Amino acid sequence: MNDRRSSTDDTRMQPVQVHPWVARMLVISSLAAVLAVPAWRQLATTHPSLDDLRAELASSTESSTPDVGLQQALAWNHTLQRGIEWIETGLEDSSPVLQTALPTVQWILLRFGGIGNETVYAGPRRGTDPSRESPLILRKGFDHLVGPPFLDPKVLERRRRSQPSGRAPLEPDPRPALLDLHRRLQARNIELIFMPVPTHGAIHPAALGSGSSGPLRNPSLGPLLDDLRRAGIHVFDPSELLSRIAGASDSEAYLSTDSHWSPTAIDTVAEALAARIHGLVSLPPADRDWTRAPFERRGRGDLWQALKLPADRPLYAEEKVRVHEVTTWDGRLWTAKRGAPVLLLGDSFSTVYSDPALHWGRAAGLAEQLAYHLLLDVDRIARPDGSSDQVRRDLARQSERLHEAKVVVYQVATRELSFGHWPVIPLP
Amino acid sequence: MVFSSHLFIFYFLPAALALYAASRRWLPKPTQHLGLLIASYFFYGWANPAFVILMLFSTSVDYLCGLVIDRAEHDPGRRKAAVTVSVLVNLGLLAFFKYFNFGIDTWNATFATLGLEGLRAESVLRITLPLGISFYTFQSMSYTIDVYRGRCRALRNPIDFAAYVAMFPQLVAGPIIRFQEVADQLQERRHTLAKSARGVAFFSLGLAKKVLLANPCGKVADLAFESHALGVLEAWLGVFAYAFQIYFDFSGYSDMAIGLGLILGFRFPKNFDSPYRSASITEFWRRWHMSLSRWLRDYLYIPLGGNRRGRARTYVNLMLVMLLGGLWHGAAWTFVVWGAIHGSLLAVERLHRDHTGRPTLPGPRPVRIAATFLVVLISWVFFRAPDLGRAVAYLADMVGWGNNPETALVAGMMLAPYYLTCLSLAAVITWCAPQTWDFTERLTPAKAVLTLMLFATSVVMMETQGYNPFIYFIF
Repeated sequence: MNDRRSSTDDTRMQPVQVHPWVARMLVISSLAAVLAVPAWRQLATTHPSLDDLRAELASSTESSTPDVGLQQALAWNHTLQRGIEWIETGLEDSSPVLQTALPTVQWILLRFGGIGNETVYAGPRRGTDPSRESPLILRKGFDHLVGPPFLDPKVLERRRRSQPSGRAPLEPDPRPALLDLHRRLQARNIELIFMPVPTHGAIHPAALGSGSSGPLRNPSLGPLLDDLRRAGIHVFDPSELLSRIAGASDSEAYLSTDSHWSPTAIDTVAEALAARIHGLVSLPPADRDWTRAPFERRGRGDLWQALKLPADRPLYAEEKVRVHEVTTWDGRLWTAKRGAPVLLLGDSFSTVYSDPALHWGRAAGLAEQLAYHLLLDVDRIARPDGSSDQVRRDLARQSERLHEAKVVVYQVATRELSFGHWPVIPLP
Repeated sequence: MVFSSHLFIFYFLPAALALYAASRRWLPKPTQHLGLLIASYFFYGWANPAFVILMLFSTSVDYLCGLVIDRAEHDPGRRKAAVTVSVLVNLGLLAFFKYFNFGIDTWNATFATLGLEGLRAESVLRITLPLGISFYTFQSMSYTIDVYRGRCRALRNPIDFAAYVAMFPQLVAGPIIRFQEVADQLQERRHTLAKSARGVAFFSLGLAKKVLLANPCGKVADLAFESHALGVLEAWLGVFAYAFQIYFDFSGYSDMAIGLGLILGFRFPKNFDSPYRSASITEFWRRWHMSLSRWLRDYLYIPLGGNRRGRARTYVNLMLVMLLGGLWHGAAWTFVVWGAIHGSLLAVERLHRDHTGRPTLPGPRPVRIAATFLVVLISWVFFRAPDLGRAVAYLADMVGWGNNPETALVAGMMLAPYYLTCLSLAAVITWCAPQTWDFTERLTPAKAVLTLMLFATSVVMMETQGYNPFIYFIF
């Protein structure tokens, strides 16, 4: 920095030297490209109508309760912002360039560049065999694992402030919500078992290039579990069990193209959980004679789906899994039973083999295997992506499901501890 | 709405250009910037409609103050009062919207450290930072100061003035254009095919810098800075990646702004001049974000006395300017430290010059370039880290004090062939390739074809990749 002002002269633009036809070509080509894309979209793709926008704005207006003056103006502004966001997202999602180019671009980036997308990361390829593709991992799970301690006060504060204006505040600290749930269940003589399910990378670190063999965890997970134990909450941490499965030569703890655990893992964990529950409370005598029937499923999981690769160049072979459907002695599929002594709260880790929409079968999830090992009925409330808050809201709305419960197992994907919303939700 | 978005390129831009052309073609001269003004307010309001009111207020105050200063030619008191009002209003808005949260947080953190939790300021008010406020308040303020200093006459036409403040190409991330740089162009400028062609080339190359280089580098930087512990290699790779990200992100955006300006007939000043080729921090600040450096020099450093009040005062002034420059970037202590590092190094280099008479530190130029880049890299750690504690931890990782098993997971992701290719390409372009400014001075057919290919590739990548942050949007 100096006192001379003459340096401004260096920054002035000199006239461009360009042949008129080159200039014409540049301008016309770019203009044609810019105009062609909206025209192409108009002709080739379906897109939301103005009625959809009206509906979106109406829902936004209904959800807010404008007062008068400044509050009303802010509510209008918020509605307008929602509309703007809706338009922009709609235009981007229905872009013909996106729809045409995405599968091929993603294929090239993954095959030759070794990268995934915003939802799925690709780990380093194992060995030199070019036919072996990069291991896939859910981004949130990975970010939770390597990210900052989720209970660090600065991290909590940053997350609290991360919500855009006009949105409800976010509660990032899981402790108050878990302690409150525990207190309220204790008041009903119900034991709470907290069960954090680790992410793929935590159990298969070697597959992602790590030299570590043991389970990895976010630095806050240990202190959180210690806090919960001190407060009287039972913790069932399946990490070691899953690590043992992963370390065995003939089994995998997690699927390759899916973010969830394998049928072997779910069965092993359910068996150990059942033993833990038996050791914890006195349950009614076993009164269910469940049977299991093996079924084979083939497919590619949610990680592969999220990559949106071309159907004719899928890169990843279909996975074959052997699930065990749980049925009654007369062949009826297992169903959740209201008023059961054990209630499972969970997310997609609980339902990956229960919900046919997740492509891996039915009646073979965590609640089913738990019921099988307990020889009892089990109730289940599960939300695929809402184990931190939605599932407890469901429980609060249906608290009568606790009337006969002795144990509530609260299964949570550990990534939710870093990214979930953990409000205290009172039980009536 | 960022320039590198589907909405901007395929919807806003053609509509804005059509509106601009129509208003220039059919409206009388005093209202010929109406199309540009409407498009610019629409562009600004797209992020948050409420903030249009704020910009309108700031613009009105400066327009009126400019008129008062101009008309009170023989009344120094009135002129001074008007410029004071303008400066206070602009700095007041900036202080409130940018530093309110910072002030409250610092207050609370201080008393929490002292164990005086009871003195916490419980504010339910969290201020949302209006987009580009740091840029347009500086730009608007420069107008009233220039009119006060007699460097230019006040604009009588409110549409022209509002268009100058709100002009969408440089509204939210600069270059910060001082009024004297475009005053003549606002009155009269030529639109030529050659100018538009160069504008297209500037925009395309800027888009390519942003999408093809800054974004992948940003992913690597995010992996590193969002991991809680790293190995030495990953930590260095992360900060290199961030250095490239911020450079290509910001200079790419500036190129796009300059290109759009050319398409609208304006010639904006240069904002980057290969800053990583600098052989000293002094030189770095002549090449990095040049429009901010010029603004700070003309409206802060020189009024503070510059180098005219003795050596000690010069060093203090340099430090002060860089501390405030750091705070201008963001309301956090990390930015203050970043400014302090640069300020102290500027002072040390000045001290060396004053004592030896040599303008640069000793050593061959390549070594000095490497040393300067190293210092800039270290300062970027503070710029990027979410807080001071994390910045210090990151520096510890860079010297090998933070290895843990998770490190290898991050390394596996960071060393993907795509990222390594992009980082290598970024390095080659940073130190070996011509700048956009020079590349577009003479547009050959080959360059035109290359430009169009880069535009097409950038659009495809922009559309298919969800990751598209823009660093300077938050300043």
